Amino acid sequence: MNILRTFSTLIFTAFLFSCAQQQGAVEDVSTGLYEKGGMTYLDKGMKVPAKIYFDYNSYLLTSMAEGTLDIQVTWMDENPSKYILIEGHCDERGTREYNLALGERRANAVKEYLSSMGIAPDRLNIVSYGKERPDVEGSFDDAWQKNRRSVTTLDVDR
Amino acid sequence: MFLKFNYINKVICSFIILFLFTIRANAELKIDITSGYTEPTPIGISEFTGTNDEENGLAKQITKLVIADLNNSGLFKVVDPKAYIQKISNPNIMPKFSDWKVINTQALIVGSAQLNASGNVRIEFRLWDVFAEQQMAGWAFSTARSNWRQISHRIADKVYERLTGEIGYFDTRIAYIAESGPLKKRIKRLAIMDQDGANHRFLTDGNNLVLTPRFSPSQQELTYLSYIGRIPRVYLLDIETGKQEVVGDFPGMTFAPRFSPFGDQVIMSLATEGNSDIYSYNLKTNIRKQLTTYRGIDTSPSYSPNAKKIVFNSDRGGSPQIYTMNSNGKKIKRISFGKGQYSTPVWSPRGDYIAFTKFFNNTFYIGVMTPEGKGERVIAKGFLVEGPTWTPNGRMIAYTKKDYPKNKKEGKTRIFLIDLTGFHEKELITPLEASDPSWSALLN
Repeated sequence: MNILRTFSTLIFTAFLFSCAQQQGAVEDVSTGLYEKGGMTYLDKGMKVPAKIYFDYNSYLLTSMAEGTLDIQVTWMDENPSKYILIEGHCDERGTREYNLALGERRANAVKEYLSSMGIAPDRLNIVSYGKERPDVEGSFDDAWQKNRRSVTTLDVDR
Repeated sequence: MFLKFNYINKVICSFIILFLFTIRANAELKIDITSGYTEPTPIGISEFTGTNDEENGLAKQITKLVIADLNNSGLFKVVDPKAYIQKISNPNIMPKFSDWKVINTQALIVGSAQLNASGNVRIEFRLWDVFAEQQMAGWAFSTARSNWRQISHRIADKVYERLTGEIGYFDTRIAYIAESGPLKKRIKRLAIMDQDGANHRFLTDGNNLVLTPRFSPSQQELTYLSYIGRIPRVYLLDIETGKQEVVGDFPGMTFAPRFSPFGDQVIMSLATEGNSDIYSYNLKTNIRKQLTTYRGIDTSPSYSPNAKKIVFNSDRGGSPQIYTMNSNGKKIKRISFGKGQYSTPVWSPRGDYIAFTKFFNNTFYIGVMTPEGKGERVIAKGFLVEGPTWTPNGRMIAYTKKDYPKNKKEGKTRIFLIDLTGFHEKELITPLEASDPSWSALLN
């Protein structure tokens, strides 16, 4: 009997928890990021956006991108125990191998900016996915724009 | 080292040149495959014969495979057997040429299959020039019965070689990436199959993202990119044993690998600090050599067949373009000057052309040019075509093709094959969606 009661309590708790999760942001365990409404954040409070966007075939940071990275810098200063893995991504309008190189360049541009703002370089790792992991499916401008990005994730392997 | 030749050993067979019938002085049949579009040459393939049901069954399968190979080349059109007038029951006597001339078959293939007590099979074939009325080739193969597919491909290769003067490409395999699942979480697996899609198998389980497999010249190994441990690095895979190992100890992401023509080196890109350079890695001495130093993107290297030069992709001129250099990294020279971006150059095994991917005006193209950058010609185009690979005779190119989106739905990604003249585009049928083909050298 006791076991049954414990079990039903557990289920009820899980149910409540999942309701709470639906209202707030959902954590992606592989990246440590929180997602809601197509946006991705480093924090549960959804104040630190994880993604920045690039122009076609470019790895230069736009002023908007730098604004987002500045918010990330503040968060990283407040969370000094967190290690970071920066993903570089491209749209499909380039060849696979060239895009692997371009994605690395984008991730590295973010790494350089973050470290220039005082984040210790040994907290920052990068990985390029080229065009292999689009954020938005679709072969049209809007999708391509959203896929030319870097994502600042938590390095869950460290 | 001995183990490495296992695959070849399995299919060892003896073959003998059959006695050639009277050689006459008539000009013989020769198919020119270099000069633009030509109508496929009509040929006849009389069903191979046997002396009992079992042999007849095998002979039928062999005939079917030879027909499929030759039809698929785009160079030949096997005339419908229903139109054949003469039924050939003894392939060792002269055919009645008038019966084959009247249905306009330029060449005729006849053959037989004989099983023996030890489970081996002897497969014979003869190729006849119908209008010159003479035998062009005759071979007999003795081998284990299980090798019948390979022997059929070799027969097709012999016919192709005899009629075109070029080596064939039917007794070959293709390595590629099998794709499944939604694009955002695409599952990619290394896969390998015979050139005609038979003997398909997956080489990795899909847990790690894998890209760009390329055959070693011995065809026993593949080099490719894998994200094992979320670190993109170049690996070697022994196809038979499944043994997988990282190539070199590089301080960063390695990608875009290719073997040297003699198989002793792997050439690839190393990316560190936003800079991709080209390195060679000697598999015997483990010595790595940096070949380019430009601070930007240098990638997609490919050796010339004599290993003296390397063609590669670089953005050093402001946009992706194609360059050649000596294999020591000296004498870098840009060779692409057309409109648009150029990438993934691949040197033909014949040495005469470089195949590439071009992006211009929102369209992708597969094209060829000479190693000096002359005579550029596009031979295929599409919403997204990329990553050419050559057949071992340098006459056909396979590549990845993604269809145009339909009703905002993504197009499918598949492998297509086209001949150098830009005609006869054909899909290579695969069980799943497919990309990044690599064509092996001839297995024998």
